[in-house]
Amino acid sequence: MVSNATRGKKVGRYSVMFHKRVFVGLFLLVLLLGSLNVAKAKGWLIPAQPSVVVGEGKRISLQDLTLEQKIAQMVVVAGGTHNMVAWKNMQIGGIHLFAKKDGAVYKKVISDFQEGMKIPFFVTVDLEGCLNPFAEFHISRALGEIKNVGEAFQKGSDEGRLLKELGFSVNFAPVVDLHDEIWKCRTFQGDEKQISELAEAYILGLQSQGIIATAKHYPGKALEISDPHKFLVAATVSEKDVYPYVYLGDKKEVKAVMVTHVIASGAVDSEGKPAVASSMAIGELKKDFSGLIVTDDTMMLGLRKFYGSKEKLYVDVFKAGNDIILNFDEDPAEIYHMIQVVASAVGEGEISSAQIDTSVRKILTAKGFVVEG
Amino acid sequence: MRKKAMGLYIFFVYFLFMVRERGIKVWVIANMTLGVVSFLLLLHLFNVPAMVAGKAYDVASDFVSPSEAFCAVQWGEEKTVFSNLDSCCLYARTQLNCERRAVLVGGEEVQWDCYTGQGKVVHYLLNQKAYRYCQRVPIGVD
Repeated sequence: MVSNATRGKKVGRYSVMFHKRVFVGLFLLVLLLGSLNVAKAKGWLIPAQPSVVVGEGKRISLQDLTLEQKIAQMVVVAGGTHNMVAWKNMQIGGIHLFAKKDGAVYKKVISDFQEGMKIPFFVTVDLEGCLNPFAEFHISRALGEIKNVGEAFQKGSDEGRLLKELGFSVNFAPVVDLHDEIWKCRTFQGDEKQISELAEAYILGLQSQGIIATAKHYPGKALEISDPHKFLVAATVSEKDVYPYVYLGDKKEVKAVMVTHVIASGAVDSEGKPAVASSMAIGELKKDFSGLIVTDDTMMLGLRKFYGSKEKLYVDVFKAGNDIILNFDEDPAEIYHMIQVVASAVGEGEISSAQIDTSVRKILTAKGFVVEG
Repeated sequence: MRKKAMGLYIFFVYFLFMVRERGIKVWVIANMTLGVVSFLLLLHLFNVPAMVAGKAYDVASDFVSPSEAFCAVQWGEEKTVFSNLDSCCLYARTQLNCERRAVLVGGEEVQWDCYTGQGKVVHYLLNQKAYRYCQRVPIGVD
């Protein structure tokens, strides 16, 4: 006869054994899920794109690129080094760099990013004047302090030289908005004609050093104080606001224009949605300008709240006719998701593949390739 | 690294001690904890937002400090309220330095000053609530 006490001890021992096994199982599960989460955050689960074929004389054929490669070329992301492997695997079109301690750090980061890339990244920055990520080692005069076209050209040329030396290829400057109510230092002084002439001189100086200049923020009124209860500025844009883009477009000098999130009416009508997602607003710009059209950062909460769904936002900004889409989301999985969403919209005919090809052709040409196909 | 390893070692020794002393109860608690952790990791893996903890933290901090999130831009001596907090965060987060410094902007006290470089540079002035909000904005800055 087995006593109750012995049976109790036996049951207790089995119970402890059972809990120990569950513990080991759960512990292994936590380790596995933890590793998968790290791999996902680092972008290691994103499949690498096939290698790009570049012929002699930097010839490249659009037919050799997959749709995902083409869409990835249209994206500029935040160039955090923790995501370097993911951005390289996806063959993203460009990286945007923020403030760093000194020039040597920039050179190292840029060279690490460009290493082994058959299609180099565009390396972009916002060096405007008072907005100066190089402020630790370089003084940049605010646009408001620039008095004449000679000074503007000199500023453009000096900054272009510095950017070239560090390894940058695109500067998101100059600002050609007519007023800056927030920073009070980001715009040139004067009326729309004077601003356009100063901007033109700056652009010529910058581009003389091989750096792509970007006039921003189309269609204007981007630096006005918004209603704190609204996430996006709704503004009536006048002919004066648009004048710099018409002027620079006619001169065919500026290589890029950045479009902002303002909901525009008046001289440019964005159909009640942010200009960056409006084919009507961007179509208006294309009448005078045939260079690269760049979006402002699409990760802005205002833009996302306007849309509700990220997928709809992604499709609309591509469909509107932008060539380069800025998305500073730090999660590589989210960027990959955007590429897939746009790829399926192309597959379903919502975005035309000819439009994607046109944008990629412009981007690759700006990167110095001879594009075929 | 060494401190972390030491901490982990102490935790395991303490855990084994508790198992020996308290028996099955410790296993049950440990398993339940691991179960919750695996569930949260699984949610995160499939992008299901698990905001309970974040919301609880917000509610608690609202109770402690009921002020609104507030951001301002300073250029030279001029300070301007930056009503678009989201945009302010993008600029503030990309600065090299964010220091604790009490400043008054139109009667509102801010505690954080974010800037890059010395001399006449743009400063982003944020109160505690705005600073905390901005830290959660997922911008890919090193």
